[in-house]
This record gives sequence, C-alpha cells and structure tokens, in this order.
Amino acid sequence: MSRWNLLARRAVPAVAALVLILVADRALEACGFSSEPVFVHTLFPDHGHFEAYAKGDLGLVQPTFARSYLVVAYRHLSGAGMDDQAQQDALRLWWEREGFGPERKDAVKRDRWEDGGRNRWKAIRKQVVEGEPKLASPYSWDANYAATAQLGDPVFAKAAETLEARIKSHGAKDPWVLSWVKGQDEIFSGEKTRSLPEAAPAIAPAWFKQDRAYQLAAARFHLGQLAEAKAGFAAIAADRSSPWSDLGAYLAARAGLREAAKDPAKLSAVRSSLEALVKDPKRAAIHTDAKAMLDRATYLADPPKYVAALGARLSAKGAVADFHDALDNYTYAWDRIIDGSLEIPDASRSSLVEKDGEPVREARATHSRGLVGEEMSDWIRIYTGHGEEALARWRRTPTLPWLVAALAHAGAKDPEISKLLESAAKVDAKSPAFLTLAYHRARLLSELGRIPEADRLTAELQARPGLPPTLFNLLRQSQQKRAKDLKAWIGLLPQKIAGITEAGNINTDPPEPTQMEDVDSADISRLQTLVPLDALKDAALDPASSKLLGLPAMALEKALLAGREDLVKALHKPDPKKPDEVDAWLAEQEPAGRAFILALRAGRARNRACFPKTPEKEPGLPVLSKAQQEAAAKEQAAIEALGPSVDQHCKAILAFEAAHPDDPRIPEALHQAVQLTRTGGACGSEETTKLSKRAFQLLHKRFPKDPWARKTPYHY
Amino acid sequence: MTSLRTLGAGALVALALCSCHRKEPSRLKAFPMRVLWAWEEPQDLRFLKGRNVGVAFYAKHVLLRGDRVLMRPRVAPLRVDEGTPLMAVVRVDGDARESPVLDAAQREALLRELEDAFALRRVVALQIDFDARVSERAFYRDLLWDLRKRHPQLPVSITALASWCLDDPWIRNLPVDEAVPMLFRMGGGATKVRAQVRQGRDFHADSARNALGLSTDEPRDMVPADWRRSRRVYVFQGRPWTEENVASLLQELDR
Repeated sequence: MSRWNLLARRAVPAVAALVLILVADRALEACGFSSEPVFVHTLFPDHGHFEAYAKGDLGLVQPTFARSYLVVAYRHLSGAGMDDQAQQDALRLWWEREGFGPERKDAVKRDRWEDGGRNRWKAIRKQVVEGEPKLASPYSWDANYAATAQLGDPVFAKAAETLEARIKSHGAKDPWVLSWVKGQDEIFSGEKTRSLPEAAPAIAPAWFKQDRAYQLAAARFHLGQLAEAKAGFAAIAADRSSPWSDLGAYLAARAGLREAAKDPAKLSAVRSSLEALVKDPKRAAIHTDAKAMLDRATYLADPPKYVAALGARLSAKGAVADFHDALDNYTYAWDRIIDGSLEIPDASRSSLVEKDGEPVREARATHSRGLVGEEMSDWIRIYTGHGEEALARWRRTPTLPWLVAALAHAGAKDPEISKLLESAAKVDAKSPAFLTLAYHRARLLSELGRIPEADRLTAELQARPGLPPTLFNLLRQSQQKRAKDLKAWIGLLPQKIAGITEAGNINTDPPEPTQMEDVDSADISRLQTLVPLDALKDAALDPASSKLLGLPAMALEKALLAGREDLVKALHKPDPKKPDEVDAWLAEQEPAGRAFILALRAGRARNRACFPKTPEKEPGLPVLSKAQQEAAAKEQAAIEALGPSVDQHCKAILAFEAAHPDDPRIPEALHQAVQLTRTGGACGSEETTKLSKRAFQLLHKRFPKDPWARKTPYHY
Repeated sequence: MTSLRTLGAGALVALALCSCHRKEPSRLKAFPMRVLWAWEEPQDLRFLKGRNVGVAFYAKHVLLRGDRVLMRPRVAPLRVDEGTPLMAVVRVDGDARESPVLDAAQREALLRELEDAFALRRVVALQIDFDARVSERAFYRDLLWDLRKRHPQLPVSITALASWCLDDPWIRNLPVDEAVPMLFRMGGGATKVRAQVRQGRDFHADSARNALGLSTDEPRDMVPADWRRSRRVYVFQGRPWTEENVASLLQELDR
C-alpha cells in the first residue's frame, strides 16, 4: 500500500471473523502503528450498504463522495432509477476499483502486473527452437522519462496462441513453422536497427504468407513506422481469406489513432473508420475492441464534450447499455480533465485558462463550465463544489436533485432557508432523498436554534433500523454539540464503528458494523484534559457511564498526577489481600515519595503513555460552566508543567535514589526508568537519553550483581 | 568488586546498540538540500532552472510476486531542465496475494531493476521506497549490500517509516547514504511521531538524521527550524507542482 495515493485502497475480503486478526498482524509488521476505528466515511457509502445504495437506499449522499457514487445517486434522485443490470454493473465497478462492497465473482480484475503472455510464449517456442529468446523490454522510455509499452503482455499471449495453432496444424518440425518463429523472434528482440523479417517467398504456403504479412505489419507498428503499419494492416484487412483480416482492420485503426496522437487533424478520419467498423456486421469479432477504441478517439477529440455526452447517456431514463464501461469511462475522463493531463489535444487545451501559473485548477473550473448543458454533470460539479449555484438552480429547476444540492449547501442565514426546509419536510420517507434531506434539516434546525425540533428529528432518524453508521454518527456528533450538561454529553460519546483503518490507508469492513461502538480518540482527549477532576470523578462513579470511556481509570490517573488524595480515595478500590502502588501512594505522604511510586508504577505497567495534553485549538467544553472550564485549564496546566512523562518519571526515580539510596526498591526503579525511556518516544525530550544513561550507570555501578541490573543490558 | 571486563563489555554493547555515530562521507553531499518528489502524474518542472532544487521522480514500481519480479514504469511525462539534478525513485512492494520468495534469484532480478532505473538519462542518485515488512528486512538488507558492493560510488537514499527511525531502528548500519524519515501518511502513530519531532527528539539511526520527508497537505510545523534548515528535505504533493507553490514552499523551509 502506497502512501503516495490518497484514495488507494487494498481490496480486503470482508471476512468478519478474521478482520481484526489480520489487522493486528499487520500492525505488528508495521512496528507499532495500530488500527483505528473509522466513524465517518466521506468518499463512499458505508460498508455493507453498497447493494442498498445501488438500489436507491442512498442514506446520506455526501458532496465528498467519489463521482461514480454520485452518478448512481443522481439517477435515483432524478427518478431514472437503476435496473438490475445497472445495479450489478455499478457494484462490479466498485469492487474492481476498490474492493468495496460484496465480493464479485464476475469482476474483471485488471491485474496490471501479469506477465503470463511472455512466459507462455517462451514455453510454446521451446517446442520449435531450443534456448532462451532475446526479448525486448516491454517498454521504451522517451526523453521525458515516460515509458510507453512496446510489446505488452497480450502481444506475447497472441503470439503464443498462434504458434500453438500452427504447431498443431503443421508440426513443430515444419521448416515454415521454424521460419515463422525466427521472424517473430526478430520482432520480439526489440532491436530498432534490425532488419525486418523477410517477406514470404512465393513458394511459401498460403498460411505462411498471410502470417508473415501480419508479422511485418506488426513489426512496423512496434517500430513506430505507423504509416507503413497502417497500410500493411489495411491490406490484410482487405484480404478476407486471411485469418488476420478482422484484426488487421482493427489494427489499421489503431495505428491511425497513434498517428493522430501526434497529429490531431487525423483524428476525424480515424473516428470515421472506427464508426464504419463498428457498424459492419462482417466485423462482429472486433466490435467490442473497436467500440472501446472509438470511445478513446472520441475522448481525445474533445474531452469535455465526451464527458458531457457520457453524462447525458448515464443519466437518461431507461436502461443504459454498458453501464459499467460508461460509468468507468465517464469518471476516468473527468479525472483526466481535472488533472490537466497532457493527453488533451491542443485544440481542446486552448479552452484552458492559464491563470497564476495554475492551469490545473483553472482547468477544473473551465472544463467543468464546459459541461454546462448536461444536467447531471452540472449537478455533480455543483454538488461537489462550494454549492454557490445550487440555490439558483433549485429556484430555476425545483427538482429533487437540486433540492438536495441546495439544502446540503444551505446555511441558517440563507434568505430562503424556510422555503428550503418546508420543501424538504414534504419529501416522502420512502424517497431516495429522504435521509439526506432529513440530515440537513436536523443540521439547519440546530443552527437556527430550533433545538427541540432538531432533537426530535435526530431521534427519529437514529431509531430507523439499518441506518448507516456514518449517518448515525454525524447525527450523534451534532447531538453532542447540543448536549445540556456534562452527563448528557458523555452519554453521547460512543459512536458506531463504520470501518477500520490501518496506517491511515486501509479501510476494512468492521465485524457486525452496526453493532460495535467505540469512542473517538479526540473525545477521549477532551475528557482527559477539558473536564475538571471533580466532575470527572462524578462521571466515573456514575454507573450509567459507558465502559468504553474507561472513566474510572482515566479519573484515577489524573487524580494521582494532580495529587488529589480525596479523589484517589473516592476512585480507588483497595484489595486488602493485594495492596498495590495506589495503596502505597496513599500511605506515602511526601510528594517526592509519591512521584517515585507513580514512576515505579508506570514502569511496572509498561505504561509509556504521555501525560495528557490539551489538543491544539480546542476551546473549552460548552457544556461546562466558565468556572469548570477554568478549573480544568488550571489542572491541566499543572500537569503539563510536569513536562514529558518519561522524563518526569526518570527524574522522580533519580531524585528518590539520591535521597533514599538504601531503599530496597531502588534497583528495580532504576531498571524501570531505563525501560520507560526505551520506547518513550513522544513522551520524552532531548534530555531523555541523558536521564536513561544516568539511571543505567547508577544501576550498574551501585548494583552490578542485582538481577535488575542483569535485566538492563542497554540504555536508550 | 565489579569486573572491569564485564563492565567494559556491557558498556560497549550498550554504546553499539544505543547509537551509531560512525560518520562516512555521504555520496549525496552534492545533491540539493531541497528536493521535490515528482510522482506519477504529468509534471513540468522546467521552472526549476537555475534553482538549487533536485527532483526525485517516480521511475518505476516493482512488485515481488512469488518468485517473480514484475515491473511497471512511469508513464506520465516529466519535463525538467537539463541542469536539474535527478534522483530516480523505485517503489518496491511485496505482493499481498502471493508472497515473494525473497531468494537470491529474486534479489538479483530486483537489483537489475534498480540498476536500470539508475541508468536512466541524467540520473545521479537512486532512492528506494520499500516499506519492508519484518519478514522482508533480511532480503532488503542483503539487497542493499549487494547494491553497494556492485556500485560502491552510487548515491543511495531510502525512504524510512517513521517507526524505523524512532522506536525500531533496524535501519542502523544499512549501507545507504541517507534514510528519509517519512513524516506524512503515518496513520495511527502520527500524533506520537509529530509530538516527538516537535520536542526535537532526534531519530536513532545516524542515517536518518540528514533528511526529512514531508507532504504539502499534512502538518509540517512540528519540524524544528534547525532540522528544516540543515537537513535535506523532500516534499510530496498530490498534484503537479507549479512555480508558485514551489516558491512559497522554499520560503517556508528556509525561514
């Protein structure tokens, strides 16, 4: 998995029982980076909801969704719907691209790595000629470090298939078969200065002459002699008795397309020849390939127009032929336009506006404007943008897609907000737009201060069975902002797990996605640092608090750090049979002694967690009073003044050793000090290494034969 | 009384394992201290002419699958001025579907791919981007030693997961001229790493103290100013570079 591609995902089978194990193994492999729950998906629907989404149960359609999902959403919102075939096509595309959704046995997994054709060629060739062939690199590099395929794997596969047939018909020892192989070897050797295979002599059998004609045209094609290649293939195409006739017709067009890449004026002729091929019933064998090539030629001629035409086709009511390919090409072509790909012919690029040296950004706007006139593409452009035009478009065309766009981008201060809310409230609960509109209604009601209505609508939505976790969580996050008091806020912290991410890249299906809950680490951090200790203690002792929050342990740790004996006594449950470090802490009255005990405790527990630190740019919690917020800030400042936790623990141990050198706990404590620095990481500082070294030296100098010294061979 | 031999041996072991302060002259010292990663998208970097900025460009992706070494090259054009120093970057991955055998033959085939990348026109240095799993480390280490033995003067840089440089310093003593700690797309450990860097707590391995890997779309302010100024900084951007954003980036790095 590459960090270089933000959207790259690795296809992982949704095997619920194994997911966490796999993730855990990879976490170990990755040396410490653990998996984290995902609560909100922004690029695609929630896992487990793809089939429903394709059927029209859209959940919350977010403006951040990838375009292929928005096309499907638009079809449902506009009433065009998706028939069974289109649904299967969409699911297949999503599976092929990202491995999302239910596993597809019919998916065409484009394995761009395979070299089976090459290997097959070598194996079949051995039946005729001994020894390894000299094979050219499949790529040639141009002056701009870009490689183009010269001899792709399919070429070898085709050669292998042909040779196998010739061997079957004429035998491996046939001299013409041998000559055939030698001719092919010359082509595959990739030598640019080599002579081409000789033309077939007059005495050659017909099959050999036809094959040789094909080999020569192909050789010229791979050598870049495109005009000659085109002529050669055209001659082959004209010979209907040749087994290469259909392929010759296709390759003649292909050579023409390559020429047109350098000379766009030729594109029109290429398109005409491809259109004729596609319509010719006698060329049925190559119709699929010719259509794909025609598609590419159309795209190259005018990319924005191509996208608009595909958009119109994808959004038209009724069945859409080849929905999978159309959706794939539509999104691909749009991406290429936005990228400012240099593939765009000059004629089209002249419409690009270069501004401030950033043609790509402007291309996005300009080419997108070029899509005006095609309703769906316009909707996608506006929906995924800032939405400034959404309201105006809804006024002009008050259809469901535009209502969704207008409401999604609306704010409480928009002049027509009441009208928008009223229209949205009338939409039937069975409509594909319902959940998206309801979510934004709840959001806007909250922004308008109409809290009881917002709360009521939120509760209704959350009670709906099968609600996607992302939507549930977004509603919950907005509830958190409206919480009346701390207890209510804490009760709203657990969210449903929508996915699992590992190293920020992989997103797998969570087991029982709508059942498992967890708490966002950012909310844990807020609890730790923004809630004053007295309130934290009360919440910890409240039996209704979710165990997910780990409140009792959190409050106890903070109380120990803050030296709040009263709270430690309230939170600690002593076990007379097994007194622990907290009991020792309570028994100890000296601050230095208490710090020593905490350090020893941290070492024994391998607790290398940093002291809590207030997240940056985090205002106080609005559910707390000003006095509470100030108290929390003061407590937190005192904790942060202790400095990095690893250093603090080391210093406490070293100071205690200096004051109480004969304390029997010293050897172990020095060992623990060194261990804490081993992977203290972010919880240390530039001073940590010196502290580690000091503890190490003391341990070995003063207690060389102690078992703790033997357990401490290094410092860090 | 403590045995001096025991104490001495222990101390030596501790020193060897806690830090490695061997210094060798870097073969990369002539390469610019500011480097743009040019990944797989069309890039026109001719505006770098005259600037002391290098380009580390994605040259190819190599996949180790079973006993094979499969390669896919860069296909997006990269335009650079003739005077801009170039580093070819080879991304390497072990196949998740069919684990690589990691034998000598596979290592030799991978070595050839690296050599081909270095042989590209005007390339003066090589960077290997391989997030080797634990099971792949021995293979990677052997590969690097093979590369060094065969090309003793070749400037070699490797990218390094932040965890390799902090808590799990297996990259110590690798025969490379630099290891670039990748301080972006760090996943779950990002907060911890950023906090450590912000505190100025340096990386364990010497080779990881001469360079940094950053991205324009992730926090960079945690990097101490003296690191920014004195180390080679590689920067990634998920879209083509422009003259404007390079200029502001360079200003930021040098302030």
